Amino acid sequence: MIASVIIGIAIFGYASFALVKFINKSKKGKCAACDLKNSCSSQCGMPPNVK
Amino acid sequence: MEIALIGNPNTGKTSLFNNLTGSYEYVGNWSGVTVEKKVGVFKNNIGQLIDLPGVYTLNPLSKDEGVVTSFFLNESVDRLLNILDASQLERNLHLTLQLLEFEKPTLIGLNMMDVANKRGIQIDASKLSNALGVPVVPVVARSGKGCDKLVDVIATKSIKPAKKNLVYYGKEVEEAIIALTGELMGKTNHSARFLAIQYFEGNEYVKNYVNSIADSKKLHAIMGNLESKLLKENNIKSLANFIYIKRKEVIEEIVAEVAKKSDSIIPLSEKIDSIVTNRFLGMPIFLLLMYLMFMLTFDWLGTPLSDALDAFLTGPVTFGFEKVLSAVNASEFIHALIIEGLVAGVGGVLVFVPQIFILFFFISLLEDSGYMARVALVMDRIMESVGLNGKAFIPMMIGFGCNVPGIMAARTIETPRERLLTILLTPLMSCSARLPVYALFVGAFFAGHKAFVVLSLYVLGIVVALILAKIFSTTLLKSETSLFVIELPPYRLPQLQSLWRSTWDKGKGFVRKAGTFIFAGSVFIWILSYAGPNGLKVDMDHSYLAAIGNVIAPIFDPIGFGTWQASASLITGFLAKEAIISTMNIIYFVPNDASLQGLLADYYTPLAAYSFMVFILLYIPCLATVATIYKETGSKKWTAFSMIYAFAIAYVLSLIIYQGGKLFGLV
Repeated sequence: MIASVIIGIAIFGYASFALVKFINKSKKGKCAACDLKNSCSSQCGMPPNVK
Repeated sequence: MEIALIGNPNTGKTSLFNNLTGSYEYVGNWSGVTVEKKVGVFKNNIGQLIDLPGVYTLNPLSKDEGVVTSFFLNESVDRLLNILDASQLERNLHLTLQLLEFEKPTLIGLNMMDVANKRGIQIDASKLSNALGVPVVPVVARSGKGCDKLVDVIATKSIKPAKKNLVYYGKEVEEAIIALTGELMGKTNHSARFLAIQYFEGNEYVKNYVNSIADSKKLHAIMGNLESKLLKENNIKSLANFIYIKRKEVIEEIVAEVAKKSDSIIPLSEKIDSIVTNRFLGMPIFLLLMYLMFMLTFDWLGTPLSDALDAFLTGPVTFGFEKVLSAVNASEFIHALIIEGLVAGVGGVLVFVPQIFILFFFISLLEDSGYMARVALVMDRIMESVGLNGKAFIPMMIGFGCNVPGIMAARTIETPRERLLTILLTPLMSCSARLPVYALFVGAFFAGHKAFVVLSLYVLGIVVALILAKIFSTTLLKSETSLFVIELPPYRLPQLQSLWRSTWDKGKGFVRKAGTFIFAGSVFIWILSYAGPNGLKVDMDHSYLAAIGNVIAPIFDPIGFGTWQASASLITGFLAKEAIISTMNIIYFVPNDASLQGLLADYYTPLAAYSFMVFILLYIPCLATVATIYKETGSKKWTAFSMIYAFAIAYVLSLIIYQGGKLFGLV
């Protein structure tokens, strides 16, 4: 029973965290929501002074 | 003596500048312009050399190109040094002819003769000099070869153009030029003919200049008369277009006279280009390559891999979870949550990882090899007819991976109107997150023609975008189109390492999303399907999820999938398109051996399945894309428009396909 509670809390805790984080990130749009942001050669991957 | 160095971009101007001058005197910003001009002193002190930004024409397209035109209008210059790329003579001469009309002493440095020779082009410099009426000196700017001679000629020879009026623009234009020069007579030091022609071409800088010195109404009337006369008598788009054509005719004559092209040494790159960018073959070749790509993704390579992964997830992985769950004595609720929620939801999406990576691998291969730049060129012809140009196809191609970077890439487009149009249309490109839906449905209903059906969806996305571009550009977003210039990179054999990197960059987001958002989504969707108004562990048809789905399900009845299951997955699909698949895996949870694909046949007919795929392709941009559209356009109105029109188009097309298909007796 204790195991069930721990697993349940872990799953729901992580799921809530991931969902909120994803929606917040998506809502930001632009680089924040982009899958390529770290390696993007056009905008996001560059240091600010090069942009 | 002040000498201006001018030429097309990438013709070696800066190399020549560095060779002709010992050092930079100063680099300074000019007031009101963003691009700097460089000024240097000739090594032998004969004067100053001014390096101007590279331009294709004196009629500026963008603000930074305007610096050259305003330099011509506002600064005094003694001589022009025009540098030409011998391997691109036709393109370069457009600028040269305009410079000659400026009627300042001009000298031509013919650069890149070595590149031209490699391409089998032999240019006779003395013949070119005769044809243009100005001295032509062959140089190799990179090594400095020929620069001494160039300096000698600049310093000593009188290089006033020998031939006047190189281009005869036809009776009507010439008469209008005379009328307009009459108005300008005595009011300017510049060549009145040059000003008249640039004015007719629509050069805004020249227009402001002549309006400030002469009667703008009279000038406008001359141009209006000329334009209406020409448009009536000739099959042309505009006066500027007419002038361009006349110049082009003269250029073709000159090139035919001075350049000899031997076919024997055409480089491989050009041989390939002559086939893949061919007016008639270009498009079929692109479609064939896409078809092969989908055959590999869905038939030959991808499906066996995905099936193996599926067997692994539904077999050993599920079995392992069950073993652990019973070992820790987990409750029935947790057991169902993990097996029916997480394994089904997340696993259902992970199954498609091999296919996504195979597709990205081939897209990266096409990009790295240099072929994609050719596709933009091939598409340019079609795009132009719908009010866009080939440049707009680049964001769309990026959109095949993910719409968000596609929309960001629209920043490279110059005119605000074309940029907005591209932003609105890029979400119609089928991004990789929609791929699992196609994979699932073609596997279930179109097993014999998987690649063909998926290709039809990708092409449908492009065709709908083109049709809408035409409609929008003639109604909502009217204005002129800009020019498309693309430097074709040489073909090269891609390195395996860079290929892998670029594949991984594109595909890792999909894997990461499975572990974050899809995980979370699966948990909550499962809860909604497990609980209902009557408590927990209800029959799924009486769950909260069914209740939500049932609210909007009737809307989708006419297009073939008015079930709560389809509606519920469409709602989750707005957050991320992959969620459609995880939702379906949870809703249609099938224990053990039976497959989701088999089960789907109970709920969809093949016709309804195709209608559903078309709807998924178009119905709405995902949340991240919507947010990006908002950030990039800065307009709530256009953001709302991008969602509403997409939904309307998707609905109408699905309706036509489903109802039309039924009329033709399809099921």
